[in-house]
Amino acid sequence: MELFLPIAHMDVNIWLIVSFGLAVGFLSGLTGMGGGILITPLLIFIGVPPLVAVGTGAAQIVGGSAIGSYAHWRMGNVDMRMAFILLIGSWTGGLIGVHLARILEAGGHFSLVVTFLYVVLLGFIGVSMLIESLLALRKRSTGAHKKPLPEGGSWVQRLPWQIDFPVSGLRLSVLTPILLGFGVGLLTALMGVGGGFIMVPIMLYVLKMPTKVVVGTSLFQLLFTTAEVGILQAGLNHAVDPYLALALVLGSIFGTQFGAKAGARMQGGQLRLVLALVIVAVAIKMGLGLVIPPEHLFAMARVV
Amino acid sequence: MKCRGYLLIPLLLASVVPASAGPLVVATNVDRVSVTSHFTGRNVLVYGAISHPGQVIVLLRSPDTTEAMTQKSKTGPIWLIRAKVTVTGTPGIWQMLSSAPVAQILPPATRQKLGLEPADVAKLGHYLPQPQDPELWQQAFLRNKFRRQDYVIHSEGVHVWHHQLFSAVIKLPADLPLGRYQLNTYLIHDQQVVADQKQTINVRQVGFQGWIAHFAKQDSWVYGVVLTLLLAGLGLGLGIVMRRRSA
Repeated sequence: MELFLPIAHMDVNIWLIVSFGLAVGFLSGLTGMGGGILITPLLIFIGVPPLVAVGTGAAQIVGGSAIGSYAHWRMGNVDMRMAFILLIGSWTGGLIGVHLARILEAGGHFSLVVTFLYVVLLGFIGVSMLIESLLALRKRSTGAHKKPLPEGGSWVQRLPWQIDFPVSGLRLSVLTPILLGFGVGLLTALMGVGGGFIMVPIMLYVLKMPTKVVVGTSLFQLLFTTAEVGILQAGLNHAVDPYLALALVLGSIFGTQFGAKAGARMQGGQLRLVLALVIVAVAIKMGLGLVIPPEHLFAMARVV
Repeated sequence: MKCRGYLLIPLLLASVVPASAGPLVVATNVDRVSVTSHFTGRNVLVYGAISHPGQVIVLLRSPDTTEAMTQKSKTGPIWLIRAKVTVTGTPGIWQMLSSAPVAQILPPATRQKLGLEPADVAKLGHYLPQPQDPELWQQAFLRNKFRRQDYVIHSEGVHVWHHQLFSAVIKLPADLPLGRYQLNTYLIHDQQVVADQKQTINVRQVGFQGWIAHFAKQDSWVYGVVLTLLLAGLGLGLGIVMRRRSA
């Protein structure tokens, strides 16, 4: 069914968008990793203007993460104090990021910056996941034991303005979650991702939060950060397409359910290997766009 | 099949055009185009009658739009954007259909006067910031416009039957600028314009599509809040239903 997208200003088969949501939701349900990082590149590949792809990518995460956040909140898995301090940082990062996106777009550089950020980030995540899952598969076959978690965070404990986080059982400087939130908010605004892939490892290994509250707290802050960025991208940059966002949410919710069911019956290591390969492939495709000579040196887009 | 239907229209016209009508009578199958969510472009049929033998030119021009142009250049291994220029004062859509190549049936001065030269259309635009080599940007502008089929020249696009009737089909793309389009039809004989007719076609967004585009632009903050709440509500609602079903 061909639909004309009122914000992206292009024709698209809406079922293709729903299938993107389904596929990425499926991978996300299968592996537990958020799918935001794949949605924006897919939208860019089919010709959605990068700013609209990023704005809509962030907005659709609101729909995808609402149920998870609600469930974790109901189960008491959210460290509210941590979440609110993270939000101070991420809302500031989001606000600055959306303004930065506007400035970059006006100068004609946004598309390039987004591509570059994706190549670096997807490349890094994909390659590290690939190495990790290959090592895990090898170790399992040789029966080796898992290494202990890395020690770290000594500098984190020396930062000023330390306060207690009773739910996580931690004493930390407020600067740490504010800075972490700021970085994630910036990424949400510039790349249309939730940032769970950065937030979760830092919470686990640097802040040393208990695993139980890590997922709930990161999902909770991610919901409100993407909501803020979605509103800002729509309000300031006119960059959130309603049809794209609704189709992606519909697809990803069903996809996540199927993925979670399928994931229960499959082996984690192999699944992560599949996802790592997908991520590396997307990074390579985006990277080629930077180095392959463009078909036309002059490009043109209608300003609406 | 639709196109074959169009072929019958000049025949119908022949029966309704009075003998006392002017040298050129023009009609279109639409005087307004409604852009809905399902709009994927539209064919506009221009047809009419001519009293003198001659050639016919049909020119459709949309309101002016703003285009952002970028030029890439290689820096190290990476292709970077070297310059960005905003072009205003040029029509979003410019389509010229004729029964013979326009350069053969009209002298350059007349073509220029009537705005039938794409190079002139590009030259009349405002390029900001002013590029060092304006001609290069004007040529690139036209190349992009023709590639996107916003600008079209079709020298066999008008069919003339028995030196009396003519018809042309203009293909409007899906991504149309809105507003009042000017349709000019010229009857040419002996390198001169014997008669001309003007029509307008109104292109507007209608229904939910029009409403949502207007809402997202005029009240962008309210739109952002409403859409975000809607997405959260959809995610939450569907999530709860699916969990209950699977429980």
